[in-house]
Amino acid sequence: MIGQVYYVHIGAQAQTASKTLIEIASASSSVTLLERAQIGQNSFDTSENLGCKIQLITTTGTGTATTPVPAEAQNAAYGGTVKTNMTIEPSYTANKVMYQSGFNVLSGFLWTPANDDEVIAVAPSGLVGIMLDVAPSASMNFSYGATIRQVG
Amino acid sequence: MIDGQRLELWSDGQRLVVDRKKQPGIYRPRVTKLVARQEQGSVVVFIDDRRLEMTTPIAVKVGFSLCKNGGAWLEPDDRVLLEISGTEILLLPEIAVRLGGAILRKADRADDWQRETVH
Repeated sequence: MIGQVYYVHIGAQAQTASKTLIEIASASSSVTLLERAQIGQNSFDTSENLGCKIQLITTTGTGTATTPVPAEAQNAAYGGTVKTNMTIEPSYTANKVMYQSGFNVLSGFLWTPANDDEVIAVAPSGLVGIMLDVAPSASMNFSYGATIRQVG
Repeated sequence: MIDGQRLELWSDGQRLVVDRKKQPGIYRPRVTKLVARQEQGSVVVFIDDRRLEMTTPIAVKVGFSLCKNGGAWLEPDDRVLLEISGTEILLLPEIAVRLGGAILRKADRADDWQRETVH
């Protein structure tokens, strides 16, 4: 295995608005590969179509600093920065939507690359966001996360 | 944002350079086929009819450098240069990042293959 794998997971967090759930900033000396992204909820029992997108970011926003968990306990801490549950939205880079999809809140959303070429690479000091881009009709307790690999 | 950095090394008897270079005016792609593939314990990049085989350490360096130069500050008309024994290939920054990321993933698979196969 090349690089170190880290998990970012937030559990059952009430959300009422469209917002960036996770912002990942690659360290200046390493590349970050986004290998999984997921969104689900466990409090709303009716079908509802929401949307999410994964897009590159130009300017960071404000959110809760979150420490990625190493897949192997002895691994060093992730060198970049991860924020979740953004209160001030980042500025997304135009025409750099890497993935966008609707999903039923009862089923949740899961993205994994279909092949190696679809892995989203974040250059050193680059940023990427995972956003709930359609507001839920009512407060829902969302769990969401990402699996990232740091190389370099 | 970060600064780009030149990488120069030898692999498979070929001189490899990853750097930045200016290409004034409209971007003119000169490559129609660009494929990164894992072949057993190696990473192979096909660029049109050229075949470049890299060991995993070399692939990681090249993949990382492509991502780094593609994501770095760029001035107008800057492209990412991938030079193989004198043949220059100019890539748009976003393509360089994608190719670099794919090479890193292929290097990961090649590394797994080596661990499973070589005892």
